[in-house]
Amino acid sequence: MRNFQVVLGVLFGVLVFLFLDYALPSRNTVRITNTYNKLTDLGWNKIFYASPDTGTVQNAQGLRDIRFIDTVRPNGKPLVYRNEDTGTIWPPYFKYDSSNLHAVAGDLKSSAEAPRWVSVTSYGWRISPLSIFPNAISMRPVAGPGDHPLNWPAMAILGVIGALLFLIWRMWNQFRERSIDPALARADRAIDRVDDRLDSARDRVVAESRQARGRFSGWVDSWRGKPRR
Amino acid sequence: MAIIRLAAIVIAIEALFYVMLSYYLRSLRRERLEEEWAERHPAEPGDSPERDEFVRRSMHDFHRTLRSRLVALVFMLPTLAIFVIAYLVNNR
Repeated sequence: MRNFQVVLGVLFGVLVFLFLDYALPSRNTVRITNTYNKLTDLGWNKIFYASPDTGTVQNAQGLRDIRFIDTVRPNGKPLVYRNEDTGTIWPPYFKYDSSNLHAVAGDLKSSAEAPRWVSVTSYGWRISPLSIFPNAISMRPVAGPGDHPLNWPAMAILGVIGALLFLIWRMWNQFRERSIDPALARADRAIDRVDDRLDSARDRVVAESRQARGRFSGWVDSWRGKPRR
Repeated sequence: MAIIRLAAIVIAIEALFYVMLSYYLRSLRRERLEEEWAERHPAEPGDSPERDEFVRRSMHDFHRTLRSRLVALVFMLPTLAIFVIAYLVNNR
């Protein structure tokens, strides 16, 4: 049982970590090489793309037209972003400006000979076997490939989540101390009182039946000439 | 439709936190009042009808303080945060 709980707890922790790693914003300094639209066949991996309610466009074959941004990282490896609205749906980035972002990305294109480095804020993972792309949220030019602006939004969100958990912990402790424990004590006292009453009722029944039996046997005894007590 | 769903979810969560927070603050306040009563009446610090009356009257005043009304901020701050996030994401 103990081991089972440990396994469950570790699994829960890993899930929370993966969830936050996916949903929180991350920042990468990259060089944009290309921007384009691509008709994309979404299968079971569509939960890693924008929800259809956010103004996505599909053709008659069910292929979705998605904007992509090709980039290269300072170490030379590619990193491809998608550029989709999130609207008011999950995750809560409230992004409506994917067209504008695409214009900015196209403007910041550069070649390996004359690189222009850009810090791209995004959420999500790049998993090539599953055709999953991070969603670019915003971008701004930076001085060089070593320039990594502080990812303060993720820190702020983690801080708020931590503060909320602390508040909920304090509220729960107060609720247990002031509401649950006294209610349990009251219930215990009520049960004790009922128990006492049951005991005394039983005693009374026993005593009365003994008395009645005494009277009956006295009456029977009176037939045999014994005086009544 | 999506924005109505968002509004419904946000208001539901805010209302939940409003209820929990106001219950929590009232509970803290009541605890402090009971401690105050115990300090003022060292002879009889425990539960009594007089203490109940004292707590009840003080809580009635507490409901009219600014501090207890600030709980309504849980309806404003997250809503404001949503607008700030939307602005930062789309206009920078």
